Amino acid sequence: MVDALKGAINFLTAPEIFITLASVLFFLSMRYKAFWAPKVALALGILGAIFLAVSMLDHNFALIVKKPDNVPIVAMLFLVGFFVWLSMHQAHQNDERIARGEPPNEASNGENEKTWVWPDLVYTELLCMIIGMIVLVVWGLAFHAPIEEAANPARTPNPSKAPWYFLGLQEMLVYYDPWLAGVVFPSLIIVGLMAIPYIDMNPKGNGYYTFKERKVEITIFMFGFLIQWVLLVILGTFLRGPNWNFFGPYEYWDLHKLLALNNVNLSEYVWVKALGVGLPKNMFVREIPGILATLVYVVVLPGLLARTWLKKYFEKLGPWRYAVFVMLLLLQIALPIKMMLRWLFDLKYIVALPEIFFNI
Amino acid sequence: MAKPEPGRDPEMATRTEKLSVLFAVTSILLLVTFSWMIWADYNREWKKYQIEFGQLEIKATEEQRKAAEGKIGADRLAALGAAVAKGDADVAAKRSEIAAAQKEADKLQAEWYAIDQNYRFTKANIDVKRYDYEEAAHLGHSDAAKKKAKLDALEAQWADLRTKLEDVLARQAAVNARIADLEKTRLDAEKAQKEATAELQRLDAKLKKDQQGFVFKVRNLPVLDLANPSLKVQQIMPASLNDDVIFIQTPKVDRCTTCHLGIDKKGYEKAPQPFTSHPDIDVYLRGPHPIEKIGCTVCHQGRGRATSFVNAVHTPASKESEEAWGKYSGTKEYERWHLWDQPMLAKGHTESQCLKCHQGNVEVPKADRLNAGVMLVERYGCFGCHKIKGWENLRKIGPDLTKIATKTNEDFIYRWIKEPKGFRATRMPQVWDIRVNETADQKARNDVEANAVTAYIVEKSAKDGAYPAPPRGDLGKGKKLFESVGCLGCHRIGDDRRGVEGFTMASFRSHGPNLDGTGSKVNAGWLYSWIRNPKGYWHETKMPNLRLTEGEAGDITAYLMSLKNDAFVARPRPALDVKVRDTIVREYLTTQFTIKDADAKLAAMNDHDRTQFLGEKTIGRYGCFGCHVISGFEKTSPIGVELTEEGSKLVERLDFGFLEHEIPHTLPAWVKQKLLEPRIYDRDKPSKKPEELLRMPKFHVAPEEADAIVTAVLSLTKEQVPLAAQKQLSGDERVVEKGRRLVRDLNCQGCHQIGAKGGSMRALIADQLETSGGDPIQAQALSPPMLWNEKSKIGEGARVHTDWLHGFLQHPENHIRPWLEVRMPTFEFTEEQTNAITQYFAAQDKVPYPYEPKPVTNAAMIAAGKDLFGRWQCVKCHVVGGKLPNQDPANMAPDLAKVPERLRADFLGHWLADPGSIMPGTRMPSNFPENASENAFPEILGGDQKKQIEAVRAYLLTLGPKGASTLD
Repeated sequence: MVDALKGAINFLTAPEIFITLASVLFFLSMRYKAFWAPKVALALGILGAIFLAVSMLDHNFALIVKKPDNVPIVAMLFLVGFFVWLSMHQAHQNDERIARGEPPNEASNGENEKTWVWPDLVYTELLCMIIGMIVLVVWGLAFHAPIEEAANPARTPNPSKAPWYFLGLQEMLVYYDPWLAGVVFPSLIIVGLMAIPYIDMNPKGNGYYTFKERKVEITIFMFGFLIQWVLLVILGTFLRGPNWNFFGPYEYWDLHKLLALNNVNLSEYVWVKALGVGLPKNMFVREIPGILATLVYVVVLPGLLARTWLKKYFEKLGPWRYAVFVMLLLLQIALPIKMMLRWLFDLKYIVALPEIFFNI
Repeated sequence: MAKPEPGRDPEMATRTEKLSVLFAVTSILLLVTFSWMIWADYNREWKKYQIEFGQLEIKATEEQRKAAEGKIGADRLAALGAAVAKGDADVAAKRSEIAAAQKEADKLQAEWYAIDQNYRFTKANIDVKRYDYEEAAHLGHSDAAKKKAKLDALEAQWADLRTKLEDVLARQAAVNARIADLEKTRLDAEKAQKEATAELQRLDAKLKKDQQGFVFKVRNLPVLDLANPSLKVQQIMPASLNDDVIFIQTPKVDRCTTCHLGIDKKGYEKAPQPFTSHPDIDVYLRGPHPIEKIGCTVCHQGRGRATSFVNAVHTPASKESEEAWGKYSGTKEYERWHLWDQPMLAKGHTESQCLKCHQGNVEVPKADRLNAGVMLVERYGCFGCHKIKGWENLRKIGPDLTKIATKTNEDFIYRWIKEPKGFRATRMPQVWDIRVNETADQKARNDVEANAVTAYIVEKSAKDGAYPAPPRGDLGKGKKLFESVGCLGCHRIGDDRRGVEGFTMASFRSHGPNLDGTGSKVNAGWLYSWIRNPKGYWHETKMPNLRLTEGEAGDITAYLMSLKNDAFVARPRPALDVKVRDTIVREYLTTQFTIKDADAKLAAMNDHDRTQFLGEKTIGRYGCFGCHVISGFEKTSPIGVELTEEGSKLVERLDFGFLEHEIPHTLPAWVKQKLLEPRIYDRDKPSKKPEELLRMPKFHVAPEEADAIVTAVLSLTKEQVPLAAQKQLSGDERVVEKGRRLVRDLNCQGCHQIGAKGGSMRALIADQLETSGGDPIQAQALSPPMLWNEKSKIGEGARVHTDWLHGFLQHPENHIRPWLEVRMPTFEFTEEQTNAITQYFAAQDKVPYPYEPKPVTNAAMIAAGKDLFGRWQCVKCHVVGGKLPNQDPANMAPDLAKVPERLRADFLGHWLADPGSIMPGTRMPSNFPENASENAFPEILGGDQKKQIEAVRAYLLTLGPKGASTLD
């Protein structure tokens, strides 16, 4: 019974199922506000804690979770959950107040331009510093600031993992060429975050939480943060083991476990499988299907969207702002798209030009 | 609505109050965590040990003090005290006189102070003026002369001051002498007391220093201990030794003595760990291996910089320690830290590190397990399959198989290679039927492979030149001869452990094969020819020629052929299963060719070709050619993993298969398991293809043997100790090691004792004497001689002339004790080998090589010598000029006529003085006592030992080949 349950959980945590389920759950939570009711949130939090506590009885689970490096990530999960809930809960409350014609909670004292700085804010900051220092010292004492063996090029650790906050990026490496996953996408994340205030001109929600007034913006951001960042960190920390193979939470990290990675490029699908001819010798001819698909994605699709689904935004933002916005959006979605393609079709690269070190 | 005023807003005021409470709480929490932090930094494992050891030391010092006090005696102490008291009283009586003198002395002191200061300051001024003057003179300034005058004036003043100073000093000395004279009784008493109780005072000072009282506690309080604590990390920084931390070498820093506080002190042998004294302080912490120069981790490994049990990577040697040490790692069973590449060596394996510095030694002194391990590696021929740097191009250890068909028959070969140990105790490992959980299918393949190998070897072997039948021999005579002529120095029959010390396989008597069942193995004609001339059959054999006559060889052949193992010969030999053979042949072919070509090739081969093909491939796979010369494999490279750096192999590089959780996850444990059960890491992997299976054969070693071999393997490390830190052999030592190499290769110690080891033959002769009712004490006289006495450091080199030894090694038939049954064999040495051996003996005894000075003699001495020679009746036991004395062989002594050409003069002196110290158990009496009064013939040369010995020696050196003095 217990083994069956563990087996089921191991199965459900396979990346394709795990990420898909999480995404579905995420969109449902955005759709139904009952999800953010305090009782539901509390129940979920308690369930999570119970799950963790019971799972610690499993040797393999405990081994990974108790690793000094991983302990703060467990703590982070609960903190992320709490703060997301807190903001969403307040947003929904404010939405109700606004619907009733009242000012949002933050402006309930009639003040919506200023906030207390001295001594209130400064005092609070001081307290935060003290608490932060206490946490750091206790953390250091409790886990003895683990240091590993002397670096040895002949013996790299297996799995070789990035620092926990970069594990999302490392997970991207499974699906994208290092050039894109390691250089272009991370840069775009920073550029995109910097661009937000210039693209998002909606004045609503300034100084108070609201969901109704900023549905799309919040959903896009939260998808990026929760699914594409935090979830991938979880996956990378707890579920990626030796040889970067996937291991269920109750599975032993066996160095010798083997997985076949029989992935093929789009060009092979087109030329070899569909048309039944060999791969063309000229690399550009060979990659024409992928190049076309990419061009359609980044050139044709924005125009098409401007006339259809995103017509409202095109009109509101104007052509330049719209162009930046839609490019960032498309690139953000490129990751889940590529993941799906990999899981469903074993697709390796859409455009594969190893001759010039360029793959998409 | 009015804007709220900060500070006056009641809501804000309550909030600020709340924050203040929070501030108070968090501040207290911060204080608590900071205290915790300081405590965590302060509370170190090693401090506990240092306090505990301090108490142990106080106890030991107190005991020493008591002993020292007892040694002086209470009476003496009281007397010394009384003398001092008397001196005090004496001084008191002269108080006024002393006070007056002291006043004078004080006045003189003040006077001296002023003059001395003036004197020194003037000197400083002189230096300045001299500089000024020299500078002016050099530049040709006009005021140079003026400056010179100033300098001269100062010099004069200085000379004057010096006179004054000397005057004051003289007066001071006089006054002080007067005071000393007045206080003489007291000063003398105090000096006597101080001298007598020096040890007590030293111990008292130590006790005071070691007390763990108030000062000790304050010095070692948290935070205060940053100034000058008495509890502190101890460390040794050995010169030119490094830790390899991959990218760089960092200097070794060994902090082991932080906890192992008694390690270099005697008297803590029974103290609990970590305070126990080192088991051999004189060798490993002082003397040749001073701890301050070499530290700890260069031998023991582990992490020297660590100051806690776990971080130092202690390694348990037994299951019990593993359980007992759980408390250190906080687990049920001790979990070794895995973050350091060189974990500490478990007890017993430490010897493996000796070779890092002691290179070029055949044996490392005191490293018994390592030496045994290296010997086993040599004996089992590990280097045949595993490349090991320094062990290349050695002779293959197994016999040459290119003529095997003339020696034995095909059926025997099959049964033998299938299970060598089933026939007799042998070094030959077992290749087949040793897999764990072997399947019936695999067994069938084994039979086919062994059959094919047999067919291949026989086919490739020369078959012509069948040996004629040997002359008929007498079995009984053969047995007696076999047991006495010397065969047993290198060979054993059955489980005969006479003269065997330590591991049987590493002993001198396992140099040659165990001869059990020889009659079932070889044909008589071959055997006869072999023992008469081993090199005739195999020119590389180590077996020497015992110069057996036809009759003797016939007798020994008769005896050895009577040793049978019928049960083994009767074992079934399955016929070659053609179907299985073809399957295997096809497997080999398909790895090399396309399937189509492979099938074509298989079809083209006839029955004979297929068997031969399989035989060749099988030998190639299992590497039989690593130990044997086999036609067709002269240049094939060995099949095993290179072991040159095996001792440094990271445990991650080892495949534990499914034994991961059954044996310790360490290199030594892995190697040991591999030796005991070479194919065990294939266990539970039934789907492995035949070519993927492990191939190492099984040597059937005992666990203790495996441990020794593991130690030897661990010595193959990649760690490089800088040359400056290594032991450098001197020229003589290098010559000795070269000789020892030959001695080892030829197994001289099977018959001769050299140093503490060897001389198995003597134990055998003693045993034979005992069983035949003889006196085992005679064994010494009937055995091959001891070639080096470790105690007196006198051996063959000091004993005989280089020239004689050289001739003897070439022609050992010219022996000096022809009545012995045991024979020195003819080794057919090359000139180079003979030189190496003679030089080795000379270098070992530190005697001149190759010539030595002749002693000065005169006629009177010779005459006295002749007189003594006659009186002592030397010829009663000694042969002279070939004339045997009328004695039992055990009492007969070497031919004295050979003394001049054979013995070195210096040696004769030592030998006559005390033969027993050179050759323990010799029957030669010690006739010349050191004490002249005990001399039997005091009238000759005044009974002086040295003179008498010199005289006898002078006479002996005049003896001619017939035994008569050449001067007569």
